[in-house]
Amino acid sequence: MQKAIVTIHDPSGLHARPSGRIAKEATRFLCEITMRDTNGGKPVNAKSTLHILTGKFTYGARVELICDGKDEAEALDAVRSLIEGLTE
Amino acid sequence: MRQIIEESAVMLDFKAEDWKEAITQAGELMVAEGIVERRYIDAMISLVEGYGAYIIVAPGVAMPHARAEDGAKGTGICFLRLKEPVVFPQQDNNPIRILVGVAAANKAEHLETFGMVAEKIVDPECIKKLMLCATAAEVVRIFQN
Repeated sequence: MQKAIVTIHDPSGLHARPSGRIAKEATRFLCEITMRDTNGGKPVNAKSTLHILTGKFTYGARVELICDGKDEAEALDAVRSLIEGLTE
Repeated sequence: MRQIIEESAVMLDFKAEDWKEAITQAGELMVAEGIVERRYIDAMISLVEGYGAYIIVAPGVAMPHARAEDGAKGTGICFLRLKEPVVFPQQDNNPIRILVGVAAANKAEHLETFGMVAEKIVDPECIKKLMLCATAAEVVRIFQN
């Protein structure tokens, strides 16, 4: 299992389009991938746009990204980079 | 914040020729509710044309929307169920029968509203119920609870 904390830089937070991009990227990997707002949020499945939307991740949120499985290191790198690169 | 959806913002069994007509009708519901200006409808269509059909969030369900600055006057949703499904660009394998249009006055309410709707439709049983609702009142009850 590998974890990382990423910050949401997109002023609009994770609305439909960025959530869709994250889910699309996460689905490329075999491992389980979850995201959790460190400010008391519950973990959500990062491979589903809808599940990410239920997390209501806002601008500035610090998100714990957890990858667990065969390609977890590669997945963590890829998804973390994507989230950190999100802007408006 | 006003109640997220009113019965007047629900339309069932609308016959749309294509995805643009479906989004336009969803937009008309929101214009009638006073939560968007007419130009918001064009913005919703442009978003799909420009960025692709990312508004499709579940099998059979799309959430058309635009940004607050595209003419949102308030925050709320509409619910449009189609008599026959329509196909969005490059999404032939996911015909859409339910459109939940979203408008929000600011970014925080946009995220909150999307999150609220997502919490409902993430449950496939909820989508099944929405496909079968016979009245606007039933639809409103599902979103209000």
